[in-house]
Amino acid sequence: MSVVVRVEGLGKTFHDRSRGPVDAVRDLSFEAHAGEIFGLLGPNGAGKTTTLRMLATILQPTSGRASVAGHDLADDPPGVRASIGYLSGDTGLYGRLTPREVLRYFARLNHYPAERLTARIESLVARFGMAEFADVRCDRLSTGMRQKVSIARAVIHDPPVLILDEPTAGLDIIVAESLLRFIEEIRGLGKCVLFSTHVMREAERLCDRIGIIHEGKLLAAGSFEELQARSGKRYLEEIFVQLVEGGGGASL
Amino acid sequence: MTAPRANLLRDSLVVFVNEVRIQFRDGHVLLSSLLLPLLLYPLVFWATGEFITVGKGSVEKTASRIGVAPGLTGEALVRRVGREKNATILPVEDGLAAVGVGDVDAYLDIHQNGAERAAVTVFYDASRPRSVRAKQRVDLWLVDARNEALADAFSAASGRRETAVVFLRDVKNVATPKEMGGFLLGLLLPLTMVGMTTMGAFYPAIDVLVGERERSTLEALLSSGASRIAIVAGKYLTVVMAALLAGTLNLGSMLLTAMQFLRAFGDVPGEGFSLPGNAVPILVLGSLLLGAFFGAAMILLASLARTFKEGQSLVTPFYSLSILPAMVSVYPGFHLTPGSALIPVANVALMMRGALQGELATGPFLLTVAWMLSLTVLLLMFAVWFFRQEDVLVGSSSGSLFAYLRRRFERPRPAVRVADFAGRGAAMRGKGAP
Repeated sequence: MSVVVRVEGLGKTFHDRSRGPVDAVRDLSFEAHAGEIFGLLGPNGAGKTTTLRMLATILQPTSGRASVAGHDLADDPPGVRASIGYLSGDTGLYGRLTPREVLRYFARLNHYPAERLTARIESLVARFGMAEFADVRCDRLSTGMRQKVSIARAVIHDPPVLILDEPTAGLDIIVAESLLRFIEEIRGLGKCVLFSTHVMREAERLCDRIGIIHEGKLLAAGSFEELQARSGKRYLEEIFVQLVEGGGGASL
Repeated sequence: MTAPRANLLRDSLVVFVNEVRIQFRDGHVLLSSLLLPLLLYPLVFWATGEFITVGKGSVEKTASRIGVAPGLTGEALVRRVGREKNATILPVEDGLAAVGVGDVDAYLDIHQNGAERAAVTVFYDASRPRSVRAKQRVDLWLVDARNEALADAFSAASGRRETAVVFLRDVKNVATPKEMGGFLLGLLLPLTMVGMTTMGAFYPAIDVLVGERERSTLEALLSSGASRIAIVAGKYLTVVMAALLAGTLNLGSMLLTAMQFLRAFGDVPGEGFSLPGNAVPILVLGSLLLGAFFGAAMILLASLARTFKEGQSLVTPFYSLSILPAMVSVYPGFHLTPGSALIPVANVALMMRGALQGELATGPFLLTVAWMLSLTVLLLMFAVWFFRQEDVLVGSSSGSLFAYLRRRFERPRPAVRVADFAGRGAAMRGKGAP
């Protein structure tokens, strides 16, 4: 499988007025491939969101380098952005627009070919069962409907990489399940998915490989089976606790 | 993999069209940019007209009650006034008190001034329209009485009364309808245009950026294919359009309504009262300059806000203060000069007034346009720079301009910047995004 996302020694330091410089991400390195779901697993404040925001060019790294779909984060941010679909758990929608208008807007922002735009929108409307509310303003939609629109918005330009930052946060079980199924489906289409979560079961179920991150550092990375073998533990929770209490991933 | 190339103009237009759609589905924007300019003047002028018609008619139909001391009702002057059909003479003991409580509309205090000359003091209450009208009538009646007395005296001395006309009481306005239009609109229009343009820009300027934060759509927008400059440009164009729309609709609505009003009630020639034709392009240009300037300043201020409330707190002081420089346009002593052309907002207001009154000098006019455009570009550059600062984007700026500037300048280099990014930070910034 070809490497689609390559991260080398990535770091991010924020300045906090009371605490001084705070290293949110430290010397992070990993690779993710086409047709693979790579999960960043860690508790709140571990640095998952900061990492994904850097890869989405929303934040600038303070050290290291990364490339997405062959586009260097530093040298070609527009190329990176054109290659990704970004969705976080708290991403909202334009309440005064309809789902169709939202999809059209982001497709055009991402330079999706105009001649294929309508067909693409209609295929996503059908795929996510949005036909009944595709022309209703988003501020009148339920949470589940809004989530469908958000996912469709993230993939409207058919990007090779999807960056999903805790996308199931706050969703009920049915909506979350349908989202997880969709993520599995797009993996089958050869897309690379970067997926962050603090829910162990989601990581176990979905991810081909998991990076365990804590206090900005990647403690270990590998498939679930590899992590089990290296730690001698059965469950991801146990592996995670061992890594965190051990203070690093040297043993893994 | 080859990514589609970003295009600043195309991306800006995509953002612009979308923002226009979003903004004009918002009640506040519709009200301040469209409905208020269209409906405000007709409503205000209609209400004022009705008030004047009713008030004026009521006062005109009523006879003025003129008080005099009881012993003076037989005085020649009083008898002369009493012959007027709109006058009723009432004897009162305490004239001032009677005027004060409204028992009479005016009180004539007639007293001797020297050997044979009568002097009259007219007491009235300027806060009551009936009393004011009585005073106006008494003024005219006293002039007429004086003329009659002079004519009698002349006639007695010369025996020829027909040549004893002392003077004619008449006035004529020599200003042309266009001059009157220019003068009256010059006083009224620039100040109102400034007010309406700022009002038109106010809500969109806050909403285009703060709205993205409040809706949590900012990250999705920033991770899209559009550059940050394109995003700011598209949003800025929306604000300018809203301001321009408010300004020009205001202009049209106000002109049409004011002309109707002045024709009906004003002391101006009814036929031909009009706007100087050559002033129209200058007015539109003025509106554009104001919209561009206010849009850039308000977007810059609002970019620091995390919530709409913070946005209002940041923009409202500017909104309130912006009307002050424009007030020079109502004072006749101020003109557009090379000096006043450097005072933002005041210069455009004076430029519009100068165009309406036909006294706009080319040099200060060009200086005004160049200076306002320069300031606008400068503000926009700041806005783009702000929009590229991470602490502004992620909303850690405390929603306060002063707090933000203090934080930035109290330490030499914020750690959030790409200081250690192996020299690549400059390259990233140089490539336009993020």
